[in-house]
Amino acid sequence: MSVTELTTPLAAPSTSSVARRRIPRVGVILAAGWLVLLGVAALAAAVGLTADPLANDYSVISQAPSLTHPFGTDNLGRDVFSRSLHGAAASAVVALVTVIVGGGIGILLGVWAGLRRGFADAVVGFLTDVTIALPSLIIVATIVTLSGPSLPTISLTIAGFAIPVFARLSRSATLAIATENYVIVAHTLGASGWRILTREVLPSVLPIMMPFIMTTLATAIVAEGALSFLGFGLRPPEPSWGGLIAEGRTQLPVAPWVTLLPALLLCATILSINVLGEHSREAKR
Amino acid sequence: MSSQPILEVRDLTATVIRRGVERTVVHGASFTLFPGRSLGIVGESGAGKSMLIRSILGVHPPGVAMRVTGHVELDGHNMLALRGRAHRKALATSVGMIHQDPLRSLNPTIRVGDQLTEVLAFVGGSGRGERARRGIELMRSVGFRNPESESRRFPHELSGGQRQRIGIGAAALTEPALLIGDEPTTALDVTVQKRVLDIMDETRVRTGSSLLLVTHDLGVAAERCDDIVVMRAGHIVECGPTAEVVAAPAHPYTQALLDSIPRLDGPRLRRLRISADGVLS
Amino acid sequence: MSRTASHMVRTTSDVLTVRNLVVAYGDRVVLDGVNISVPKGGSVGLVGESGSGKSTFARTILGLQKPRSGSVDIASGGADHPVQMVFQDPISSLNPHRAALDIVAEPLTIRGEGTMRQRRESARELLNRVGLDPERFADARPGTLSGGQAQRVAIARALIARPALLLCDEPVSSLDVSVQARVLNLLAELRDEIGLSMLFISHDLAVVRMIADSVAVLCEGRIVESGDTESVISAPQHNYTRQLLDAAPRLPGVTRFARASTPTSTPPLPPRSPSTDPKDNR
Repeated sequence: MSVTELTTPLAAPSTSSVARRRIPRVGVILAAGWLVLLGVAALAAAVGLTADPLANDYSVISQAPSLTHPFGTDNLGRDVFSRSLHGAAASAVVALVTVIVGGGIGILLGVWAGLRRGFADAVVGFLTDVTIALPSLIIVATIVTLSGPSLPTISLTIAGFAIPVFARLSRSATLAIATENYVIVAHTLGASGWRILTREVLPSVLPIMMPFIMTTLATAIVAEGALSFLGFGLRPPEPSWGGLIAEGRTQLPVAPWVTLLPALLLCATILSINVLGEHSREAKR
Repeated sequence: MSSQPILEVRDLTATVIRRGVERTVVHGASFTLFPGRSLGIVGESGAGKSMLIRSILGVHPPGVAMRVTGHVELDGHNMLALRGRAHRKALATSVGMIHQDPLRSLNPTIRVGDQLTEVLAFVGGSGRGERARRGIELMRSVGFRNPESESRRFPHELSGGQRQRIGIGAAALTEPALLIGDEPTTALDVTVQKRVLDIMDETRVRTGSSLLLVTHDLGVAAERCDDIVVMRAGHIVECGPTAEVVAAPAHPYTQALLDSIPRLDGPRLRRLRISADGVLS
Repeated sequence: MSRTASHMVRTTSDVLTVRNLVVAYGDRVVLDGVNISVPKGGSVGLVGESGSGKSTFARTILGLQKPRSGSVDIASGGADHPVQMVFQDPISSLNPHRAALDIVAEPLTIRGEGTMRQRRESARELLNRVGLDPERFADARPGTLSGGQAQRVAIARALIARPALLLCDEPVSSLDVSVQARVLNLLAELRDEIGLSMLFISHDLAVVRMIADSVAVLCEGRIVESGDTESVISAPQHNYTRQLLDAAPRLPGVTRFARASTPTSTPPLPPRSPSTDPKDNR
């Protein structure tokens, strides 16, 4: 009688894959926790519970972080913490509008094109390809400059550029799902096109799109940050993350916290969103 | 004829360990296969047929740890005691495997003729021209009528039956002591299945190999195999010469399987009694 | 019953009448003048291997494929969708996000028949009828069902719509043989109980024999033989039908099969004589 532990398989399970199954649990909790915390804080700031982000106080300029000013103050005496949170609120608005409006329209367009095929598909495909080919950041910057930098303008323009990418992805997902037997059955049962779209196809498409939805949140925040850093976003003294980072550049030798802390906030937020996005992809398997 | 079995399995038990959870998939299997004979391993899905083969061969699904106990002697090799190179060598010389889906076991980017000659090159002992000739001969022997031109085809250009015949040829190339067919005809039409099984029989006779035929189709096993083993939930519930098992099954599960096979002869519909746990009686 | 290659007896009470159906994709003719009919309350089998055109045939009957010529007449009795289908892969034919009860009630929901309570009640009855205990299965998702259970749900859904014709496309091919028998039994019972008209497509003549009174054999887009099932099987007229019967594995004790035997006990088989039938090189 011989006993053997067959631990030398043809394809050994990599230790990293075992490790990866553990890490997201801790990381996911941290990421989700951070985003919730930030969200609550940004909300608090938006309703005025924190210091006035626009108030200049020349008696406390360029002070290091302290209890009264957790992120310190900048060269005009403004509370960096409050400004950062207001910036977070602005970024959140941009991200959510992009995903809800841009994603909503884009996914509906894509699913519709994927189901109808033919002319509808050709038109949507053409518009999508053209829009994706355009240099989005430059065009958004131009539009913002021409019509004035306001949160709605910035959000909707960025959302507009998200529409074609959502459309393209959801169209591919739809093509795969439309041939599934249960969709064919719905046809034979006499379900209307709208019903098939909402009840059969969409519930299967949305989970597929979830990782992309998460990364779009991140991309929108970075886009807004880049725009305001370059000066095409919210006009100072309106706080926004990109603007804060830009303003703080000149103060780096004297008061590095003015740039670094908002930048850290931005990084942590993007990282958290990406971790959650990765988790949503892993969770599907 | 040698009275030494080509394959002897005693008390083979296999346990799969995944994420700390253990599940026994083969419970104390025992059977013997003599040279030149064929054994059908029959069972429904989940019965443990594939796991049984994997345990005998010592290969298991990637990412899964398996613990195997018992005794397996194949062509003189003590399979469970071998490791690494010795184990691989034993497999290479003694076993020829025919998979269910030849699309997976054939390289899609290499012409089928070249894949056969590759096996010959690996085995060694013949020059290039000789290998090419043997490859063509082999294709002819598995029923290709224009092997010169057909050997230039890629796997996806062949039909399912043709691919499977290439698979049989490749498996038999080394004239192994044991040929194992793992559901080789499940995906094929019935007329193609017959042809492929005929080719498999002829090939087997030519190389003198024994055959282990794993299938869920009791009819196929009964038609092609000298002996039959019936598996259910990891256990061997019946074992014996085909004619006896079919005529007078010892286990009610075997009888139930026989009853539920649609027949071209005999009564059309037998009203089957089905108990609550799904066991036919 | 006529035994020639292209006729089935047509009566005015036929639920399905297909005449000279031709379906082609571009240059490739997949169905070449198919004639077949299903009498009311009858069960007709269509036997064909892959490439015979049987899948295209099913899609054409369902209205998913337009024929190039010929006609498909369904005595619908006014219903919008008189043909319901049971697919080969049961799990993929069920919406993975919904519970079994909703799936079964779906046809009624789409038509807006009755109140939600009535629909759910009907669905419950039907789940019971196909052998699935509503208490256990009403909220089950397709992912948790076995192949046999999923197929029963699919059958229940097909029946709740009270179809004029049940079209079964290899409904038991992907099921274990014991489960297969149970599902076939169920279909036979339903057929007898409610007079269900059925067209049963399969590659397996033996399976068709269990459920269909008459059978048509489809080969490369043409019906090569048709008639009463028992007669076709016991006395096949066409060469292809004979090939199909011959290829079916037989259990020992039944005549007429050749197989290789051990080298020491009997002489080896003579080499196969080359066959001129193109099918032999598949």
